[in-house]
Amino acid sequence: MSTVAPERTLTTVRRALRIASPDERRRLAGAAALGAVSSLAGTALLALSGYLIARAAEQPPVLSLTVAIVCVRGLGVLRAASRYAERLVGHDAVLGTLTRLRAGTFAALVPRVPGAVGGRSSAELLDGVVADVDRVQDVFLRSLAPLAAGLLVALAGVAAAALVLPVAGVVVLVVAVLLGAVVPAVARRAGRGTAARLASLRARVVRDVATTLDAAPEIVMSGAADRHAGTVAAASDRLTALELRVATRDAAVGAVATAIAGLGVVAVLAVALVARADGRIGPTAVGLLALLALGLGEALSGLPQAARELHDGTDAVRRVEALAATAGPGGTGRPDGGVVRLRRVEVRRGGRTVLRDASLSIGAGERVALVGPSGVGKSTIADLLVGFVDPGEWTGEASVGGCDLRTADGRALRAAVLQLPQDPYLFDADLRANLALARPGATDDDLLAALRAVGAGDWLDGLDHGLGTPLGERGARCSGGERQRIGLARGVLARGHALVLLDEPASHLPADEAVAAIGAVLDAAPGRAAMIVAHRPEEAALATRSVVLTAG
Amino acid sequence: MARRGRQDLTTLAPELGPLTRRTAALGVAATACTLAGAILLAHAIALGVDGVPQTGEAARTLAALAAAVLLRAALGAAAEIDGRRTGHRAVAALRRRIVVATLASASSGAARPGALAATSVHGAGALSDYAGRYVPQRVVGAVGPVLALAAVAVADPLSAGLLAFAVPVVILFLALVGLQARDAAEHRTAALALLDGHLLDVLRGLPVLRAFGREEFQVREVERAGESYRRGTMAVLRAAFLSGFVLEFVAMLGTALVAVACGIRLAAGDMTFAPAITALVLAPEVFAPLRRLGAEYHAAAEAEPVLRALVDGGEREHLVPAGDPAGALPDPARDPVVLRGVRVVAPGRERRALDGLDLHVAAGRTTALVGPPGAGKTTVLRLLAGLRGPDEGTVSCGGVDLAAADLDGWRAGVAWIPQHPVLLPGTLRENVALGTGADDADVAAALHDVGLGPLLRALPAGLDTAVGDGGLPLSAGERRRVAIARAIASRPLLVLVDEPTANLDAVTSAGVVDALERLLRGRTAVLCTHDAAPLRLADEIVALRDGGRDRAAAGLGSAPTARTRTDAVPTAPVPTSGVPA
Repeated sequence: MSTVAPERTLTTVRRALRIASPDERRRLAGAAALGAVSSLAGTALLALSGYLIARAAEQPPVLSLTVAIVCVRGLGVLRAASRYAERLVGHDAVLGTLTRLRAGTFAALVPRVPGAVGGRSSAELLDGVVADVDRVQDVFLRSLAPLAAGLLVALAGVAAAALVLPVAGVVVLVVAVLLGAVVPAVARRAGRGTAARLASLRARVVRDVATTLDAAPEIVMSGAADRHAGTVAAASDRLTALELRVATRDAAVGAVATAIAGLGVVAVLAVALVARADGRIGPTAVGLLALLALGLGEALSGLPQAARELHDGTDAVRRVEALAATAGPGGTGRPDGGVVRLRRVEVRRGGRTVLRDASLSIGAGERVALVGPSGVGKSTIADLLVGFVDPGEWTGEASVGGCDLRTADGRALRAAVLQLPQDPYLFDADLRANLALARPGATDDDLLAALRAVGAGDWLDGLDHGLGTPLGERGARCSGGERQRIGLARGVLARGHALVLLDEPASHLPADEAVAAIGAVLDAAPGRAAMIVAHRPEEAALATRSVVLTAG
Repeated sequence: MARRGRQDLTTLAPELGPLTRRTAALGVAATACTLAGAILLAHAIALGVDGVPQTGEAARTLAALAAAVLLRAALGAAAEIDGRRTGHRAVAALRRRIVVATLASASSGAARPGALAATSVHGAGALSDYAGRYVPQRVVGAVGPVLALAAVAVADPLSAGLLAFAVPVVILFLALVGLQARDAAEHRTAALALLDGHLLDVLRGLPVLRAFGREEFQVREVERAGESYRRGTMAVLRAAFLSGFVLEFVAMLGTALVAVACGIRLAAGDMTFAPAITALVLAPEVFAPLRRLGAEYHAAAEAEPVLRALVDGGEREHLVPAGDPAGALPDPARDPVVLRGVRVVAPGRERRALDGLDLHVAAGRTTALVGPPGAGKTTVLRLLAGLRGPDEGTVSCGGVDLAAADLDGWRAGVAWIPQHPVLLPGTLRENVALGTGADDADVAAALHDVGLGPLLRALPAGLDTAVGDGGLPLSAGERRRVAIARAIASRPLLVLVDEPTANLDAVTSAGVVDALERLLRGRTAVLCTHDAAPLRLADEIVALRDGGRDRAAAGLGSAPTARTRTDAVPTAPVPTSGVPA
């Protein structure tokens, strides 16, 4: 987990609030107000009932009680109704905010993949995007709103109690400060750092379990099953131990809050009884004060939990921000055409030199074959030309369409240069969706024609659901050859690129079919230049010129 | 999956069983303290209202009240801690069961392994809420109102009668909205799983999306998935909030009825203050347990699908045969491995994975199995590895049926190189030495043998370099070479290789085949492929089709494509023992 610089919680809260749209902020404020109304009504209801019953004991004319009775009922309805409205309004607004935050975080990650996202594994990424974003809602719903309502109720309670009996007001004030500030601060100190540790342990265990599911046969056959199970169990036990500690701490904080709220009632009652014994207040005031304290205790005992949620939630906000901040700013240069110039380019990745002293030029509309032994860096050149190599990872001179690759805007670059990889990623969606991403708005006829152009006609005819056939998680239902044909069909469909990089996109197809399929991609967009990475001479022969890349 | 009827979650996971009863008992004790506190509070108020309070009695009452408050807080926390511990431990136990079952069956078994792994960790929150809050509250919800009503009845029977009318109404509404909440929660869990899976899919496929300039579109897709999650969540919440509203409303009405009835009788002089205030303070406690139960109901609704997913995730068809630990240990390096009349039923499919297969794997030679996908090649490998037994027929080596052999010992001598080798999170050393106890020199030599020497030299951290998810990115060819190095380091008696060159380009594929050559030379090996490149390593080629020998390709026995290796015995016809193919 990244370390998050200490920062005032309120600063983070302010930023978190800016994630919400003005309309959502208004609705959140409305929800907080409704919550305050509900809490106030609940407390007033109890206080008034106490007054009512004590006043009734003085046997006044029944009619004089009517007003209080009506008020009690009204407050009851108000309390229930405003609580219901608060929850609906607040949750609806927050979930809308979350949806946008999730998409925004994802959008921020987009420019960083491929390329290490701070060395994070996919499990951690998922945890960051889904879980932390979910936790952000706690800032709004489970902390800010209850804290605001609690503050209002505390103020009103102190004022009301002080009006009846000043010393009772002081007692209520002490209880409110204890619950709203002291207990949360102590709990915060006790739990410092656990949230980050918990998150990283969780990510670790998710990764371990996922690996187990992925690699079970290998682990078993290598005789490492027991050892692996032990490793997973050790991490899992550490996670469980921490979860138990956190659960115990939370319950203890809850118990302390309950105890303080209850003892507050006892204290208010004590000062009321003393005042009554001294004759400073009458019997109705005792009834009112006792039940007011009871109501306040109920309303305020949730404050420590709300304060804790505020801290946890703002931690999640910071983690989401840190994740999004790992995305480096891109350049603004826009390539004009697809003319490639590489001079003495060297690429180092993960501590290894993967491309050494490479020079290459591709003219407008030219078809160049790139040949050379495996591992010499042909795919790295393709990655570089579409901006998938970090500026810090390469040296030398490289430009596309007259634009230096260091200053190129990635999106503009990829609008000019299309990369068709050897192993195209297939999404867990149907065939149609997997093809249509190459040309939004393509008709089914376009898609079918593209598939037939790359020789997938027979396969297509054998599919029960045609374009509607689901391809499975990571395209699990397709063979290597079928995957490549889908990738090539995407290349046939794509439009508007000045250069296409064919990075062995037909290596699983028989030679004659590979030539036909690559030819279909080349012919699909006249005037589009091409760089063909190929091992078979028949494929290289599709180019007008060959460039040999050698190691060193 | 068919919807199963409502059942207690403890029957799904016995781990939740006995401890939850203790949790519930603690919860009931806490409720009793709450009621005692309410009675003491009412008594203290009455002291102040009925006249001038006596210091001694007031102090005694308040001290007792303080004690009740403290005891109640302690018992409540104890119940919650106890329950949450049970919940977390249950998830940990289920997680362990999934890992153990996965390893025992040597197969993932999950349609979406990523989602199952995430649930096995993040589901702990739901189970902790379930066991820590819902379980005690379920018992308190049943016992608490009865206790409270009894206490009210002692103070004022008329109030108790009034409240007794309201309670069934509350329970009716609780049941109605609860049912609705459960259905909605199931939908929401499904939506969340889809959202998780969708996000991972999109994150993995980002390079493709960026290549086609579609990343913005996917951002909108993520937004859309989030939106459908929001709708699902709101449906659950609306039901939950409605239940909260109804309960609060009815409870308030009940309490107000008591207050008014007491007030009128007080005003008329038909009643004294003490029982009136006792009834009034206790009245909310009749409903409080039910209201809290309603508030915690969503915990049960959310925990149930989580628990089902985890329990299902730990249930595997137990296909890995146990063998006989005291049985003989055949040596496939010396004796041939023979499959005779083997039939294997593929779960969930009509056709058999293998249908009467005979196969002779000669010792010290490489037998290639060729054929289209679905011909049963991988099933043969699983049989040979001892990862499953035949449903009919026998697999034997040196005259010993594997079903009666020491299978643990057998498997220890087998190296398995799967189609998509997975690197475990850890160092390069750990991945190569996995389960072999090879030292650094062995590991380095094995890496050198498979052509990864230059890579190793280029790594600043050498064998300590982290690989696997989040570590040094290795290409598909490099991953396969690491798997081959692992096999070399383990000095196996029998090598099983599944599609070693699938999804590799010609040059990388040639490199992998070269690496394999080092491993297979002189060893007993079975190599499955539908690619021509690795066939040069084969001494024998057997064509499979539809779970049996391919008659049309029967002539392939020692086909021209199988280059006879210099160190191998010149190809002689394989003795098929006259068994019909």
